[in-house]
Amino acid sequence: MTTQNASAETPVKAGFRQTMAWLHTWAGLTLGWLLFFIFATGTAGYFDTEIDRWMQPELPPAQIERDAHKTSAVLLEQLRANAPGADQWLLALPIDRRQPYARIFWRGADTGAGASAERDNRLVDLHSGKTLEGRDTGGGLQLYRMHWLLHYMSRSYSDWIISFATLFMFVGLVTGVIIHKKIFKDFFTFRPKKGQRSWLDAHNVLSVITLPFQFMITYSGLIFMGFSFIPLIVAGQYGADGRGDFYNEVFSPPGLVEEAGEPAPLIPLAPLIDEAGRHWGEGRIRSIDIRHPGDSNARVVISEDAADSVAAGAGRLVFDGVSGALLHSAPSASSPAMGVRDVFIGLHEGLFAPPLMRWLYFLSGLLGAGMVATGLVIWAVKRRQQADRKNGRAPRGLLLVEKLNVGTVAGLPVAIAAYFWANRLLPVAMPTRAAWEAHAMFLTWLALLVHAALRPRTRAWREQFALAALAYAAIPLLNALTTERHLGQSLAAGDWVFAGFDLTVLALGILFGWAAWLAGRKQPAAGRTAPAYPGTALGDAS
Amino acid sequence: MTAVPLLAQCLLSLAAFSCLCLATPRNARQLSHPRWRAPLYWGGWLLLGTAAITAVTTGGWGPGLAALFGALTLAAFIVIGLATYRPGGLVHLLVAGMIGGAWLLGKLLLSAAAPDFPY
Repeated sequence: MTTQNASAETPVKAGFRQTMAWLHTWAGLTLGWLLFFIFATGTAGYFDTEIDRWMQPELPPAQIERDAHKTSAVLLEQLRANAPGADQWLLALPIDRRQPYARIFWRGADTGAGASAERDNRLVDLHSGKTLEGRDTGGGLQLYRMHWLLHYMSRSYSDWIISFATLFMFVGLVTGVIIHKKIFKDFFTFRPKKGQRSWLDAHNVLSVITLPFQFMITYSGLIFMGFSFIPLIVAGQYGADGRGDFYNEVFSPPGLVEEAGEPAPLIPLAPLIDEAGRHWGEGRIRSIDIRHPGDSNARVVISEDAADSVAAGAGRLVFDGVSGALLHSAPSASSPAMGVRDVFIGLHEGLFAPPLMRWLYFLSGLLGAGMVATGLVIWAVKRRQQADRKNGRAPRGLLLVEKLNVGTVAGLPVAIAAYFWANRLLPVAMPTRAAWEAHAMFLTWLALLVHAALRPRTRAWREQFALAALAYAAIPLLNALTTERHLGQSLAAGDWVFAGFDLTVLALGILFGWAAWLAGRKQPAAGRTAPAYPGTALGDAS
Repeated sequence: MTAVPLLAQCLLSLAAFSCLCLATPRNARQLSHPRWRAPLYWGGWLLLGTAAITAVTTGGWGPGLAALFGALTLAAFIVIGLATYRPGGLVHLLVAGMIGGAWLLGKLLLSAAAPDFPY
């Protein structure tokens, strides 16, 4: 690769650094746009349930209730009425932001015996006992799940693509640290309005100040993908087709058995809840999973709430559903390796994080997206400058990268805004509503990629950022026009989920407006200023 | 879980990075005096250490460190922004961060010494 600034180095050292710089450049570029998508949608995921709630404005305020006796009585009554003869009843208790409403799930119910559906998943109003009906939406969960499922892709492809992206990201981080010669000395250095130099500074600053977060998120991402990435380790122990067995052994509660076919009354839940309270303390039950209710082989699995510890794994108690005997007590981590895995995954998901901490996660994610974006821009700015200096035409590869940069760095945020717009504008009764919210997002992204391909470069940046500014800043207005819960109302009522969402998109709108203004300014002549800093930190990072 | 420890870490990190930024040669020439460089430098690291100790003692190694890194990211972002566009504000930030951080730290220490202290 071009290394115009490397001449000051000693040959051997420059050789190593140059190789690393080459690796950094190309590992970063090849999957950079995908990484930007992963960062953007994953960052939104830190507020997944809050976005869920914004996207279902019909639902009442959260019904947090830590008294498992009370909640389980209401839910069990619903299950008895709606799902007789089911293979599984699941009661999810509303104990924190992750589960703001009580929820029931069942499968294998007997519609002949009066079940309303073979399987269903419902929110239950704890005050009235009725089903809570919100509009059909993918919510924050769908947005968040995109960051590793890639939405339209089958799991067998997306797992591999995400694994590679994560690995490339990790390579990018390590090589980035190696080629950045002055991490401490240049820690506070940002020189604006100096063309390429400013982009490098911005890229350095964003990377360095979020470095611990980046390493944590990428390393834990690798752990997440480990089972698909290193399948042979599992295959060696469990056989080539043994992945199902492996998952069962590692993640399923122990001691579950088949149905016996002999009816037997289900034991009341109260003593089991008390027993769980003696194990973990009061009010720490997240879910109660009943297998084969009404059968003599019934089992009740009570899961612990692990939200206040970093480790993502939770303890589980397995009871005999007829006699109430405690059969198994699975600790939160079944082995040291599992414990380490749980901590990293817990850190990645940030489920333990209280509000302020959650905002810091969100900020780190946004800055991470900024890091990827600035990296992509540097690649193009640098080559654009070389092309200009040679007075030649820009090579096709450069044009492609420039257009993808606009259509992704500015276009994807607009597409995510379109996801929220679709939530409010699609008819509430529309049958495939949730799917179309996502289609609206990806169609918008496609449209903006086309726009980026057709428009001149600087205009495309300005227009798309301006569109992003408008799309985000107008969301509170859209919300005010389509629901009762506008910003004034939510602020007055202390409804921080709605107020927080509206204020955040407003802030994003302002940020994009600023970006549009910056993109519209006359560009400083980068070619003339860059040589004033020969051989500086990342000048040779190409 | 209360937000006081994390807020304290944010304020201490802001003060710490302000110190370290003011201790850089360029800022020391323009904003303070070269003879302040060493005290600012060591003061900055001392404040960072205090933030780290606060993090680990209140949150443990896992969530504590995660919180600390979050606070450091936020503080570095603000300080770099200020140093770039309003370098004069660094001194104010330093003072504000110190006072706020010390106040919250005192609050934490008091509540640790006397858990029933009415807050």
